[in-house]
Amino acid sequence: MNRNLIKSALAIVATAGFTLTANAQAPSCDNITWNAQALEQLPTAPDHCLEVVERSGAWYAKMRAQVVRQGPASTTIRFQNSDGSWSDAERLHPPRGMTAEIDGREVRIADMGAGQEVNIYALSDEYFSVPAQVAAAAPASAPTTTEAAPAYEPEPEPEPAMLPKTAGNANWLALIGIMLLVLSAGLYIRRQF
Amino acid sequence: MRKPTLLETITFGLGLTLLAAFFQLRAGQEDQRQAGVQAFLAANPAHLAGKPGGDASFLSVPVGIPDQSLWSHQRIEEYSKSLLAGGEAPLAVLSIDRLAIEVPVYNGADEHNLNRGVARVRGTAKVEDVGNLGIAGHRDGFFRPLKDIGHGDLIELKTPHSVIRYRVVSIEVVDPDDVGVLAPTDTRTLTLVTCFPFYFVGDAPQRYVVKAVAQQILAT
Repeated sequence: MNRNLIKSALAIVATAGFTLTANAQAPSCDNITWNAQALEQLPTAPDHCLEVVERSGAWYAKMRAQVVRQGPASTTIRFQNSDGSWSDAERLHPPRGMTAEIDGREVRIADMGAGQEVNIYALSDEYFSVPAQVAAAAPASAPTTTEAAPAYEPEPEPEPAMLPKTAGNANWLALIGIMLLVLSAGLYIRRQF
Repeated sequence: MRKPTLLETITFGLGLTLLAAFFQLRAGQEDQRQAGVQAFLAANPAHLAGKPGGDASFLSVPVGIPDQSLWSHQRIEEYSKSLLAGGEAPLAVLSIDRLAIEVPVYNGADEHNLNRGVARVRGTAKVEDVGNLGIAGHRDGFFRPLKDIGHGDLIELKTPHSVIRYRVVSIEVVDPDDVGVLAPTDTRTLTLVTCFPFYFVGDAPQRYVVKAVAQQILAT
């Protein structure tokens, strides 16, 4: 599964304010070669590559994921495909306490809400290789752009206004049932005398 | 002896039916409690570590959890879900050995959750977070044994990643609007809430509040 990829990629950055470098000789999703490790962990990785970006001399394949739902020990996500559509949902088991940095804040993966989107950056040396001519041309300083992931605020739970009411209606069934039995018995006995 | 009249027969039959429905409801809640505990353990097999073959003898679960050591995460989750027959999975399992309480903890104290277990009160700390975690349960159901709880009793909370042991430090009866008992705390606190008096037909006028503080946290 792809959780290792997600784990390390998120550990790298899943952040707003990630400064990227656009380079004239930048490789694209079409000419990078995903390695066996990446394809084993995420066979559909090539379909999810949105662009290849450079940061501090390293290339990253950018992917975008959306949280579909949270389970007690799992996070179900789906990836955006390069054609803009979304992949089938996949269930991940992020390690306990694993976080992503969003808008400078550490957010636990488990606390992300349904619909929350994050950018994921897979590191070239670890998951794919770039064409030789591109690798030879060292990334140079160039105009920078800022990638912004949507801000995420976990939906706050309202403070309780009252202590919960903790009694069901089942007791009424028993009470009325007993009363009817007593009534029936009373009517019957009364008729005997 | 005269034969019973139609009215007597009807009232007798209706009374019996209502009593049968009551006992069936109660039995259903017990089934759901067991399913909830099993579902939690199935989703968090680390709690069964060291118990090969899923020997759940320390729990009041009638059927042992199968050995999942070779199972995939997905299979474990699917198995866990199958035990619940719909509905959200429990966040934790709360146990008080002395009172023979062992019950799944769901998120949100609504009627559905309170009928199948006990429930975390929304707006209070999460089960693994530091703070004041409020848990509510039916006084005529899973939390009825709380009437016998005492200072110093141990409460255990199995969460997905840990086992937290709390010790009871206070017991009080408050009004329903006294939400101060659920106010945030800097320490890991557990607040159990149920209605009071324990034996009362209808909406009980007060709330029985048991406070406990964490003594020990064991990672699983």
